[in-house]
Amino acid sequence: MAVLEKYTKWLFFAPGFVVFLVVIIAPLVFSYVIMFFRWNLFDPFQKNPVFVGLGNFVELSTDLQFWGAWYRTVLFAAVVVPTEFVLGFVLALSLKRDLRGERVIKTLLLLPLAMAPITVGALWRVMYSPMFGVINYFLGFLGIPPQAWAASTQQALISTAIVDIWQWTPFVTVVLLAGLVSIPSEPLEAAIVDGASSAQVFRHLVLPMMRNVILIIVILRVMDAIKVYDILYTLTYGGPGNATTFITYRISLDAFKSWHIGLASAESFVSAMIVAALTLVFIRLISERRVAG
Amino acid sequence: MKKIKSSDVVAYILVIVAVGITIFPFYLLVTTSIKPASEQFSSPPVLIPSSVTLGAYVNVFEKWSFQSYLVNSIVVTIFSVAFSLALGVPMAYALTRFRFPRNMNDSLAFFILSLRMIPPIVGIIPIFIIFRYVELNDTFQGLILAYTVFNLPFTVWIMRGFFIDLPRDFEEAGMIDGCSHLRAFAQVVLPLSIPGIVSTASLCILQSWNEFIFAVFLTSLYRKTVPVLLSSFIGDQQYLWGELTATASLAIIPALILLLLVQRELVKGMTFGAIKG
Repeated sequence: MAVLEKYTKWLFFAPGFVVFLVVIIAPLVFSYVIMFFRWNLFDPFQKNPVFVGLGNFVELSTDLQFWGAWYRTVLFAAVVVPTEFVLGFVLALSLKRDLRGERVIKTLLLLPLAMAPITVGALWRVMYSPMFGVINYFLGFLGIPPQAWAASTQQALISTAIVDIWQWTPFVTVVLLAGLVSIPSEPLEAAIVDGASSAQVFRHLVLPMMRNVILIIVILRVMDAIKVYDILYTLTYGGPGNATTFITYRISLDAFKSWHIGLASAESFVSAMIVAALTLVFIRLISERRVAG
Repeated sequence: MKKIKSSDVVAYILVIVAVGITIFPFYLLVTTSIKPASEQFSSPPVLIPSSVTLGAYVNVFEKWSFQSYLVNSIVVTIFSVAFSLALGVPMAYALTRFRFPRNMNDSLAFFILSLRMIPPIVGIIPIFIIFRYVELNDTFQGLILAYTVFNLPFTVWIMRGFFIDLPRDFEEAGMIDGCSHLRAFAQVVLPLSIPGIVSTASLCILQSWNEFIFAVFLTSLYRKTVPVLLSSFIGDQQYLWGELTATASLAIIPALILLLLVQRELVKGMTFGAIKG
């Protein structure tokens, strides 16, 4: 009986872990191998992968397409995450005032999470349509001339950012509101009695007490912004030109359009390293809080 | 009667504008799906359809066989969520109730979570090639396997949080009475975990239902899911706006129902248990 008990934990843990190893770790290891090969899946003249050593990485180091995609991805994240955060905070503070109908409002704010990103992209593509779209139509009332939006090289990135902001600001709001509600009100009231201004209370009490919540929502949004793919697929196809070819889109083009599997694997590896470095920074930030708190 | 402050009015206006912007695209989606074709593309845009037609919905079923994509989506979602629960719930339980060698429990949990941080495209390339050799591309089995693993880290992490909060008294009482740990899990812990399992399942269903990137690269002909169908209505040359909005309106119904059911758990789940909604 005792022997059986000893193995119970493996009985619980092992099946799932084996599936992890087979379906995640094995393919990852496989891609760490093929990134050293030149391999075009559908080139009739090149049946077998050719070993090129670090060739793919040498090529990548000066590949403006690849680094350009990363640059645009960082730019995109740098636009959407702070915007969603600030707008979300303003809305959360507004909702904190016990407005009537708060529950209904919260439900309505969560609705965009139900919409498939692929639908979101398609829907906004038509809303952005310079001729038939509702956005130019509404802006017309404000006297703003029609814009090209997603169809213009200059405006495509910001148009994509607006879509992301539309889908995710409400979620950020609800998360920050949950954080605000969990703050004990006594210290805040005490500070106001002591004559602190609401700006001081916000800066020195609310923000520090919200640190954990803020960190988590920022981490989640940064990670998702880096991965953004679906909305591009129906909104811009990474274009016009490569104006919205973010990193995931770039890799998918190299892998599944040009079929340069080796090169795409090298790109994946470098990108995964960048994401891993970011994750480590974030985990450190969170554990610092643990030590301090 | 509470006195209304001017700052309250500002807050109200802000919230109303935000809610309006949030739900307007939904209004546009549904109204466009029932608009006559002539009003889908017109300048200025028609915001209130002059008449209602279900032509696009009929087209979606008759010309585009929406039903077969629907079956694919349902099969893949149900099986992958069932598998990831069957594998993930015991894993989460083991991580919270047993000591792993060298006290690796937390490291293992973080390792599993970190798998979720990897951008999916990184995994899709090798999986695509391996699936080509084992002939799993464009099959239910392949897609279910991929989705199971996609859902598993999430399942383990959420259920782990749930088990940490679940008092151990019940199962310990059962084990004192001579139950094995396995039996205590099956007869005591699982029934108590039903709320946690239901909300985890709902979140997994929601994500699998809307998942696109695995579906588009791992299917080609027979096993395309609803999101893949959606993406094919809109291309460089074609805008099947009626079909797109009709399909999207149908596809969003189960997602909306789930969202309303698990609203409270949604925020908690999507922040990996860090924030209680």
